[in-house]
Amino acid sequence: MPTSQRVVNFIHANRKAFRFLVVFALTFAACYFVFGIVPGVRLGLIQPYTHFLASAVAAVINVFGAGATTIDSQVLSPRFSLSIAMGCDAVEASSLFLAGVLAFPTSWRARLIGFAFGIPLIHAINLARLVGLYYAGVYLPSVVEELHVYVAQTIVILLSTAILILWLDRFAVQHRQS
Amino acid sequence: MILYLALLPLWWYSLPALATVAGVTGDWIYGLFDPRVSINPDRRIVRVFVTAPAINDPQTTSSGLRLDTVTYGLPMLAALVLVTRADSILAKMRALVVGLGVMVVLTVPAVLAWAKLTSLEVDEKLAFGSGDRSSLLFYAFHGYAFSQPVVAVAIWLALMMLGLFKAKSRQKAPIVAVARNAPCPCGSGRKYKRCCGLVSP
Repeated sequence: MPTSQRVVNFIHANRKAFRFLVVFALTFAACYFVFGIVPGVRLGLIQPYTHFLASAVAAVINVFGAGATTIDSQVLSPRFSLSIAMGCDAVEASSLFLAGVLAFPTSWRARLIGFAFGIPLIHAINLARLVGLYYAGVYLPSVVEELHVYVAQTIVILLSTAILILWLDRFAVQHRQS
Repeated sequence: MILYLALLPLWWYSLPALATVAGVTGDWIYGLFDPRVSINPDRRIVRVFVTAPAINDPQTTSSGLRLDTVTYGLPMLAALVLVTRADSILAKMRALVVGLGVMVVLTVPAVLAWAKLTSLEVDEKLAFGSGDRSSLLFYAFHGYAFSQPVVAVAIWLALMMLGLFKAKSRQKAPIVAVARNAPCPCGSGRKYKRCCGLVSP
């Protein structure tokens, strides 16, 4: 069989998988563009959200006596200060989850269930990550940058993927469209 | 997560080799379109040199791309593939090679995009006196670099959905013609013509 025919057969046999992957990639790119780049959305929605995140982080660490205050999206404390910038807002992890939920062929009821429990859970995990990074900055200041880039971000994405797989397993497959 | 942390040093020490592959390939491809630009690997950094034409004295501008910023999804992908259940070790290794191969290949366009950004910045400096990087290419490059864990997850999902963790189906046994009066191959003990070979009217 010629190679071109084998490629065509492979694509035809896996057309559902390719459809999922294309919709997934396009949805993720669209979400990333809208929430991460479009100035109106960034300044009108994401920036106020980062201010809220800074207040939430300060509230949590102040329970343990950090004595932190906030200015816009900065958390200032005598021992360590955080600036919640682009990428610390869980937009990327939420976009990943959103893209997975929208790309999988299932009912809108299952999708709404996914959004209702998945998105808040991802943002709660992100808040925990920021609190963790504050304490990493206090107790491990020499490696906080490496922890921030290579560990904390990866944990959030891995947990978002785990939530997506849980949703696929528990809800999406049961309501799968024929 | 533990596996990912264990793989991080391996990835870190493989960065010079990755920089060499991405730098040399990127230099060859970019050289076909714009000979002013040269791309050279330098340990874990890929350096881009742009020669800007001046009236008497050509000036060279350079910028460096840290390869860890565009490949840190590699150890995550490797960890995801290694913990995924596969039909056989061979299937898992095949998925690992294909996944990592795709991610390494994607590094080349990232290097090319960085070279193009550097080249555009030099051109804009020459034309307007300052370089503006707020282009779609700039956002696409940083989106790719910033979303390395997501790229790793997307490739992992693709590997699963394309069935790379499944063992290849064995070649089907050749169909052998069974004589009508021979014992049926299904093992019933009856003649083939009275069992599986029964032709309904």
